[in-house]
Amino acid sequence: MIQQALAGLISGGVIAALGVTVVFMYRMLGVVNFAQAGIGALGGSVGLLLYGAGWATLPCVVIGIAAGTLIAAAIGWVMATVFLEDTVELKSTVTIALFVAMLAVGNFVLGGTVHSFPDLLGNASVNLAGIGTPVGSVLECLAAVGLALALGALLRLTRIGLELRALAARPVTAQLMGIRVVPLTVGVWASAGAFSTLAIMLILHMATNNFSPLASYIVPALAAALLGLFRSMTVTALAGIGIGIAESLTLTIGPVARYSDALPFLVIIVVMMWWRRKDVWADAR
Amino acid sequence: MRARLMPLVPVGVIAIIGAFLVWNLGAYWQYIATLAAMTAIIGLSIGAVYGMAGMISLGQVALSAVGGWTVVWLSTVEFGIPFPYTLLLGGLAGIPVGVLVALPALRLRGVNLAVVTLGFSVTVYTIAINGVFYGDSVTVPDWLGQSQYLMFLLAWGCFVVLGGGLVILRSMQIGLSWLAIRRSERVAASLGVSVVRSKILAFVVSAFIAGVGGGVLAANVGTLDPANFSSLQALTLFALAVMFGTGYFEGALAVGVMGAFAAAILRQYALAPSIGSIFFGFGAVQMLSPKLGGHPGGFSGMVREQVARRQASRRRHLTVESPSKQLPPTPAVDGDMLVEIRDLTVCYGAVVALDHVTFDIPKGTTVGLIGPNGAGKSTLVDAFTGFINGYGGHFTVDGQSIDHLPAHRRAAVVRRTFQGGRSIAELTARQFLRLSAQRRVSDAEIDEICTFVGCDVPDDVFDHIDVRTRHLVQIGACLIAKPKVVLLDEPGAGLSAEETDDLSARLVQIPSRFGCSVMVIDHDMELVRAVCHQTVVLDFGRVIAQGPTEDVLATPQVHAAYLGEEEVVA
Repeated sequence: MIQQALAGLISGGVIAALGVTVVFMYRMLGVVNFAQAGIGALGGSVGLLLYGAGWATLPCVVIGIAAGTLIAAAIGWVMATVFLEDTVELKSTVTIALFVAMLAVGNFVLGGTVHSFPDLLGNASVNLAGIGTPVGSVLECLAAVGLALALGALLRLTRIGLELRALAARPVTAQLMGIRVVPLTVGVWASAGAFSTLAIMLILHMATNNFSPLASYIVPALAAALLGLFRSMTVTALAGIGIGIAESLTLTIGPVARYSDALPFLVIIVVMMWWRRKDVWADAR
Repeated sequence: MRARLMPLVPVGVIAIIGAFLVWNLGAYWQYIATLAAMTAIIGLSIGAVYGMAGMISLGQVALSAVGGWTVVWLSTVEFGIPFPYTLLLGGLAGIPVGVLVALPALRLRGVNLAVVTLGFSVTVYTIAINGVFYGDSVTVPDWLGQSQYLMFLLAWGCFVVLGGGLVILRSMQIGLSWLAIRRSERVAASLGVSVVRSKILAFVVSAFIAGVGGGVLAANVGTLDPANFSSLQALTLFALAVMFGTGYFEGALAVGVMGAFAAAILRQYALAPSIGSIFFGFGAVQMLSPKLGGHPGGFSGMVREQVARRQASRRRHLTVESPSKQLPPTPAVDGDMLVEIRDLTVCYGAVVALDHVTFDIPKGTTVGLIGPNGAGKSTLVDAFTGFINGYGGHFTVDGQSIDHLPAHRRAAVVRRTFQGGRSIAELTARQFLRLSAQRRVSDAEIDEICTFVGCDVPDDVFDHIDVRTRHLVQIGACLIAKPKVVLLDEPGAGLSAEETDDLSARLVQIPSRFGCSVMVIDHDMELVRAVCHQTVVLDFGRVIAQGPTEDVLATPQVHAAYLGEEEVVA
């Protein structure tokens, strides 16, 4: 049981990291980025192809992350110059459309061919109270929580955090105050893209011939973000790890094992409806 | 009638040409053309829930899976229901699932709903790939099974019936209420629309359409393949819907044709079908931004707008009333109170926006509500019309307490306009008035309201009407509902002196002509003086003066509230 739960940490950490970047982008730029995992998966694919061409692991990882960062930065530039003043819904719809294009590109690039990639987290495990604990996955989850705490501190304590919060609250006013909106937006997109690519690369060895499962990590990541109410990055990180563990545990329950992808979501719908039961009016006066 | 049927002529011609062309194609292309009908039907389904009601749902493809599975299942259980009728049951089976998806929609809006429906889509796909769909196939009657062309005609027949139904719904109260919700839930509720009911209905209608679409797919392909219901498919169709604008019949048709034929043609030339999705993804992004030449109604919305602009000048213009500048004498107030506001208190956190506000609105009178910015005037309107939960105090209209009523039910007795106006871009003034009436109204009745408020173009969409006339139509929308009291929030904002005179002359006639009382909030003292029998002054959430307008405007406290103590003393 505990062993099975620990096995869920690897994807839990990835879900957590993606969820944290989704919430960070939502809070800073007012966009729910459906393409977050897609960006990571595209960057990952670049690394995968290079590894297949005989490159060493480290350059593959570095260039893959650079590719994910660049793609995200390019989207960020479009968002800052074209969609800056639009609503959350519209900006998020743009990311849905971009995600469709990314899935197509990714499936085109990876489709059908089997690639290989090393397990970046390694197999090392330590024996804690008689339970073999995978060191890599634990560190990965700690890193995801650390990312949430670090981004929270960045927003609260630094000047750039203050500017980001101003940008989030009133993009046009921020622009009029002399805050450089385009570089900041591009910066947020690029850094979120870098973290997402790194996260996806950690599980790249598990799905090397198909783009969609990698990009589909966005679904549990969004679920985690919902549980964090798109506000708390720490809650999102913990929820992401929880979802990873829950999915892994459902694999052990015979009748529902095949439906493990579906179960967490059903729970989340119920939880959300309970939390939001008093919400009445959508738009402001 | 003849003019209304005219647009059907080109549609009929295109349908006949299309049917003839497909007749001459081989079985494979007839099969693709049949798939196009199914995709177009899903397009209609997205059109109802997203294109019309504005809810981002990524679950429509999953709903079609429910319908498809039902049709397959009914083929295997020998209930004795022959194939084309099972399509209807497939549609009906989609409904309870659609309602289940709609439940989160009542609380989770916008992008949260998109997340949940994407989750629903993944859930259905997970169930699908785990064996629910495998093995069984749809049994179709021999006459249909032997002819792909008949299947093609059946599929497109379904599209025409469902699409036609949606076109009719669009012109009815229910379709108009979806467009209102898309604009703003507050506006919809203020027009008497039940937001909850409308949203559920949007999901019910779209789930039925999707269910039939799934059934058509099942019949066409024989055995269902879960790949047809993947999240990728759901997202791609959503992007296509954004691009072509499936809130309209022809947009859904374009989604079907592009969705099915692009992939088939690419395959024909040994290219990856996913190239089409790249194009659709970027096409949707372009369509989402007016800066990039896009349009919120998609490609079909863009074309329709251009046609509407061209036709605008040819439309019938009403001759509006020119009210006399001589104001009618103030009616005597007989002391009968229509509205009683008692101890109204509203707090936003530590800020007390309204503090034990108490005043009355007598029958047949116009009461002004004035006060500096932030005095609590609009908060009072929000509380009165049911947009603030948990206020203290009571509202009574004609002896009946309305405190327990939700916003859309209060709209039966009290109507409001919004500061700065809230019109619905794609509705004509006539449709807006019809929606607001919440009952059957004749064209003559609408024309009468339009001539009274001064709107000479009732058949133009709001987008093409000037801002002043839009405000007038919104006042007309209050009046056509025959409420007991009308609350006008800054009707004179942004008007020239001449326009204010014209507005005043119309407003003073409302109580006697429509049998209701009026409350006017405005900063223009000339307007208040010209139309209000009585005036209430708010300052920092408290009533500081009330009584006959001239008396109130002369009191030193009112001057102080507006100009500051020092100015008054000086």
